[in-house]
Amino acid sequence: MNFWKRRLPLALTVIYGLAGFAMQIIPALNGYRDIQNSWMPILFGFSIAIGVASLTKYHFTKMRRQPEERVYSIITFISLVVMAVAGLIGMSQDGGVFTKLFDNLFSYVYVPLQATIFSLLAFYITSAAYRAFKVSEWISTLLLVSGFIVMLGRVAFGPLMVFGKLSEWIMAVPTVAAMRGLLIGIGLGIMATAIKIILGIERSYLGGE
Amino acid sequence: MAEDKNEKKWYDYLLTIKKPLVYLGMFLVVIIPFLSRCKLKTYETDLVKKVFTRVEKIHEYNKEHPDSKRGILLGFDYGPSTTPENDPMLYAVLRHAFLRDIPVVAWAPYVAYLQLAEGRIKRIAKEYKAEYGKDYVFMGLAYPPTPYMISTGTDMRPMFNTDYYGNDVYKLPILDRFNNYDAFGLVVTISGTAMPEVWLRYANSLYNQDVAVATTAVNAAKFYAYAASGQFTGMIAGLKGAAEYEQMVTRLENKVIDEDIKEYLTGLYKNVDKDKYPEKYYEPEYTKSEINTAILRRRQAGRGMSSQFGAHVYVIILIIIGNVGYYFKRRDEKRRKTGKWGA
Repeated sequence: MNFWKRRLPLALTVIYGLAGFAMQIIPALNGYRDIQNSWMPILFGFSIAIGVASLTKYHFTKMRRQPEERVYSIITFISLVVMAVAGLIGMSQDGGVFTKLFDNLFSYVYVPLQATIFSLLAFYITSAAYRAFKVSEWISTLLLVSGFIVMLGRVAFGPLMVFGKLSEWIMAVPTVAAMRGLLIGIGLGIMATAIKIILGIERSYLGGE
Repeated sequence: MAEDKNEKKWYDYLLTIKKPLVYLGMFLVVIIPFLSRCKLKTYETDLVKKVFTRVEKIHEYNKEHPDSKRGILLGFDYGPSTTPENDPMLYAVLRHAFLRDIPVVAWAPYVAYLQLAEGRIKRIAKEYKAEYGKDYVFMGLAYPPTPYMISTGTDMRPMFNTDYYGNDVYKLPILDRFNNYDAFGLVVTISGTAMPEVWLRYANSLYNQDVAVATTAVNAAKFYAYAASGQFTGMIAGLKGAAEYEQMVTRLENKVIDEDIKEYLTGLYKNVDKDKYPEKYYEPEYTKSEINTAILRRRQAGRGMSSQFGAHVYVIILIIIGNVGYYFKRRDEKRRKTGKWGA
């Protein structure tokens, strides 16, 4: 059991991690990179199957154990089944009932729902800014003033144009400087984590411990 | 003293505006300018101008080299949640490309983006009589995107086999030439996600391909660093960027078409061979409402900017109100503590 659950996945991670690295930096191995890339859609296909199985299991368990929240799980499960069935059957019936069902569910349920949820952010941000954006120290004052300039600068016209120029400078100089620092830090973090995973030091992805 | 503590001061009212009122205010400042169809003219920035100029350069190149034209590879990298910001960018870039007769090859990296992409691309193609398979093509799903980006270094066709509509990719004339980065003058990624970074990593770093990004204001802060270093050829950032590009394209359109848009669209498919435009891609005729929508689409970002102006000013006013209340409350609390209160 230890072999299947720990040693084999660890060995595969080390082998493929090093192989992937070698394929990127050794030109002679570039041909293998294309083979590796063509495997990726297959692996992603399997991950979808695992995702669906996991979602189904989770919601069935929830339906049994938490009757007060059963309705949400039922809606999720029905949505999953209806979209999957409509999509799969619709694929072979161009212009048929299932295709129309799938298209309509997508265009008139999924799209407005996503857009609505995202647009709610405007309301939450407004309320949060009003309640939390307070001048207490010089650094928060600086943030507040920059925020004002950028907000006005983005919509500047006529006499407000001075904010437009200032806003451009803020985005092109201090923002870029801060972002570069962040990106370099993130990049180094990713590299360190990747090396730890490839060398088998970081094993949390195997679960347990 | 207890009475003093319970008494509500004027600044307490400033600090306790009810949430529904705040929300209602936001709703009104967004909806009123939008419904009244106000259009805000915006100033044009260098980053957006760079994208526009790059597309114009492709047009110039194509004029000089009609046998080895260059096209645009379009990554439709956004979903329903960011359509209000990304749609005007897509429309403006596509209008520019079709107006200048630049071939467009497009794909989408996720299933949820497919239908959106297909509907929007054909909508703009129709406005310029672009022929499917000759002037533009929608390849469909490119998932996972990385291998598709890499394979475009040599030939993208083996990765797809068929386009979105099920056509054999080897039978579409546009793909005979426009199947790898050498044939594309520019990659434009229109995105609400981190996908532009993936384009940079593969198309730009591996194949030295020019990449322009059109992204939401939230993501733009991150991409300014890449634009400043020249890794991105240019950037259309947020609704403002879209409004800038929209203005530039509208100016160009007025110059190139030199006709009232309503009349232009009304007469677009009169006296044309309709067999060239199979209904599978789009219907080669315009109804009155379609024409009105197409006209409104030409100032979609400009209209959005007026709502954005209202929203930004409203948030600033609320923050000022909150801070005035906070300042006076803090001052009174300090006075109370130091015993100077009510003296």
